Amino acid sequence: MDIVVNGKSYQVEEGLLVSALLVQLGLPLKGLVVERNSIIIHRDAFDSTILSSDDRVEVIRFIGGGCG
Amino acid sequence: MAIAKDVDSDPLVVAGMEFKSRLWVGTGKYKDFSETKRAIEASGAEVVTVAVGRVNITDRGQENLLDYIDPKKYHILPNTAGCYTVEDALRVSRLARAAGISDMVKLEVIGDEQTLFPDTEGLIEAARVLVKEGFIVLPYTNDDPIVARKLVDVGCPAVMPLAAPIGSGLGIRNPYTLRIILETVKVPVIVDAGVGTASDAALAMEYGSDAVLMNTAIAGAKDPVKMARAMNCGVQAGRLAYLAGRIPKKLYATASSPEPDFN
Repeated sequence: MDIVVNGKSYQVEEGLLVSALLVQLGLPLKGLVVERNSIIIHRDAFDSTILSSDDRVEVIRFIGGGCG
Repeated sequence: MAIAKDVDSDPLVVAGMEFKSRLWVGTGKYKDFSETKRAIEASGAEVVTVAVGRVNITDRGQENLLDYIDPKKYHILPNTAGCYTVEDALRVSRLARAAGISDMVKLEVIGDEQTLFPDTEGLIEAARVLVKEGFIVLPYTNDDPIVARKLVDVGCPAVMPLAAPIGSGLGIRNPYTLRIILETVKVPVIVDAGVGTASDAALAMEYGSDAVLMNTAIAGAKDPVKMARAMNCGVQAGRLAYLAGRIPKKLYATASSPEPDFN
């Protein structure tokens, strides 16, 4: 199935968990925030949230910034 | 590094949290994370602002800011920089809180790309929603005493009026308006944005501001680490001068030595 992660299209297997997606992308499970179709997925739910076709996923973290 | 011990017994209290340093700093615009870390250490700041952004998925080797700025050592203050609508600011605040570091958010709702002035109408609206959701909302606002009062009315435990446009380095453009804000609200006033050099920061503190937040003035200096130290000293000097109570300005001289009495 196709999903979009941070604006990029990816083809992944059906029934993929959020935690498995992060592993496949080579991302740490810590220090990240995941949003799926504009709804925040809490860290505790990474292991139980199954992605669906056409999901739009955002993987967010803190970056340098001050004002503006 | 407190340059005077008076500073140790004069903590800044925001929403029940105590901070020794009255200089808050941002983490943007540095050459690299190593420079960010060294400048922040030199600044003596305890509160450090960060932005929220997408993880770069294609460059997995990318370093993580929080590997350099330890959240156990610093109070990480996420901001909603770059948000032009209430909806965006709410979204970014919620994402930041989901990171599990803090309920505190520096709320920005920007009104215009050229000036980066706050959209104060949107700011008050967003603040009201976030306070209800249990956030500790520190709003970046215009130097407008009425807006400052409204932000306090909706539950903000501090207000953060700008000195001048973000990154402009112009220093405090409306000192008298800032002084009115200081008299209008009973919560800490943290001057945020527009400071250019150490004397600007000192002046903000001499007027009675409770703290100063800056980013570009340090990160954009030729030697950011040295400027961070200068700002640290400037903020402490300004605070001490405020506590000491300056002499009134007078038009004519007053001799500081007695008249000779040995003629």
